[in-house]
Amino acid sequence: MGLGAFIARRIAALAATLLATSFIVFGAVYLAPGSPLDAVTGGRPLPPATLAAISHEYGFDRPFLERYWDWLTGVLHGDFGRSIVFRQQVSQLIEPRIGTTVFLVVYAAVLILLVGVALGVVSALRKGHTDTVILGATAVGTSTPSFVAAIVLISIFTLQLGWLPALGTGSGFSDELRHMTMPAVALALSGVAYVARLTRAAANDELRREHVDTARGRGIPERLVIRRHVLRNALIPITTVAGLTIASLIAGTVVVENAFALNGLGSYLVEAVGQKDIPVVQAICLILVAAFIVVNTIVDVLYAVIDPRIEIGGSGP
Amino acid sequence: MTGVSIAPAGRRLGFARLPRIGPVGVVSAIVIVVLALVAIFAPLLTPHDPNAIDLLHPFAGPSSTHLLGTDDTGRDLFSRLVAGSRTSLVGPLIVVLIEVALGVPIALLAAWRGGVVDGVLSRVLDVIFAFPGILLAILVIAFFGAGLRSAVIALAIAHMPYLARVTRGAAIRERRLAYVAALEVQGFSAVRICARHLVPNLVPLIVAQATVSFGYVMIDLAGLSFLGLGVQPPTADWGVMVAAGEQNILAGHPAQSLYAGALIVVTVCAFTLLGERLADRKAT
Repeated sequence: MGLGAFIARRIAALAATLLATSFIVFGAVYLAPGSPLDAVTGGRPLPPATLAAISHEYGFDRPFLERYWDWLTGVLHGDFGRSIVFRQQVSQLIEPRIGTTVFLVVYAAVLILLVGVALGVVSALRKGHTDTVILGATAVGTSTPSFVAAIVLISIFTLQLGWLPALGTGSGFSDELRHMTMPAVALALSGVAYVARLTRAAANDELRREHVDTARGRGIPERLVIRRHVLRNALIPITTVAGLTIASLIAGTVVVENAFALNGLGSYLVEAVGQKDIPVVQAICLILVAAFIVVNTIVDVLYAVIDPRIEIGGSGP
Repeated sequence: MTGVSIAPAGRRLGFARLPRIGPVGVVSAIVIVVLALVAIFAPLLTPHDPNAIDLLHPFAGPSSTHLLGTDDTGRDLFSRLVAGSRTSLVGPLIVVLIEVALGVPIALLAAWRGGVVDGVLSRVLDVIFAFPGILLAILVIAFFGAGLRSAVIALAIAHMPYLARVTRGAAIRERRLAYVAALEVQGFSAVRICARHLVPNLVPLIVAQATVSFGYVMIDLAGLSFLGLGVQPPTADWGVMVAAGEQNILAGHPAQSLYAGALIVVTVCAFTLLGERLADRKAT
């Protein structure tokens, strides 16, 4: 199978998974205790006219699959319905918040790629004390939840040193960068540690390979051996894991945005859960899950493209 | 010759094999045992009532009466951390037990039947796998209300596919071994062969996966409690304590959050490192 067919099949699988997740997000309303109308309104005492309007908007009088289809076609056109709390289009409510979340994820992704890979390479090349320290620190790092990292960062950089603001998004790019630094570090920490450990392992694997010994035997300078023979080959597993780690950042924003009071999708999701504003919850859940699945697929395809040894369409699922 | 004697010997979890997890694994195991003992005997270890409010002594520093000081309402931090070990550890434990109870039968069914059954089950697992655990939990909580129960059920479903996948792979390898065919020829039922022979051989792998999973689940569960969607205050819980302390951090009182956060990190670290050692040992 050629690369084109492989990509086509991955996209078909992506569409199927997206469809299935949209079904879960939509169908969850009907698993909730009580009537679906109660679930959507959160059991609020609303005037009968409003209840009837909501009931009609959700089409609780029509068959399930028909409602699902209407909702899905709406979603595909960017229409997520109206907020129960604000009686406004959900898309209008969430649109201004997307930027903050994207900024946070991209910032954290850059940190993971730069710092994670650098730490791993240093760890693999500097055997002994440096390696041990990095290995220990990254073991703790992978086990540190983002909200714990947030507390430690705020305690040090806001309380002790007074360098960085603890809360809010800021305005203008440089101010925003300043405000987002601690959130991005908190979000990226476990990913940085994980990618560092993986990079170290991948580089160590390559260092033990015969072609590295051969290159050294031919008198190629150590610097070039490392760059051309060790790092280039180690890059393949690193790309995959780094990509998957970055995809997992998307769900991580929910916790981090709350810890730093950032006005993004994640903090709005938690707010909407508190307000039982179900259309907003459904919309944000769907957007975050879809982003997660899309990034995962991109990583998958990228992996096949950069590694010529992969037999595309082999025994994989 | 009975069916039992055909099964490869010496692959069960035995004490003779335990020391091979190395020094890091041993230290992690000791940490876990100590934490478990603290959780079991928590009521005996708390010097104060963890919920007793003393508004005259908020934010007290460490002293002989309050080992780690007090929080914003004068509650003893040491007592709350000890009492909090219960919800903080029991939550992930229940999640992991449900994961095993759901994931292992699904894995065995997929591995044993193969074909269409395997295909359908694998696709279902893929879809759940595509749903980040904390998002599935938040979705469930939105409908069923905040609390430990919703969070535990949702996280169990979200984290189960990984365990099921790994177990399925191992079960397929195991099924191809000659002893399984020999047992089938002898006319033993599939359920009996799985329960008596396959599962015991898979136990080390399942234990290793469950141990690693415990760490990840704990991060998610504490995160939900931190967001106010899991364990509810005033119940003492480490995730809740990090969140409760956060309001006081900017006022210059980070102690509560830092202690509770440190306990979460130590616990997750111990479970992850031990799980990795157990998984490595299984592979070799």
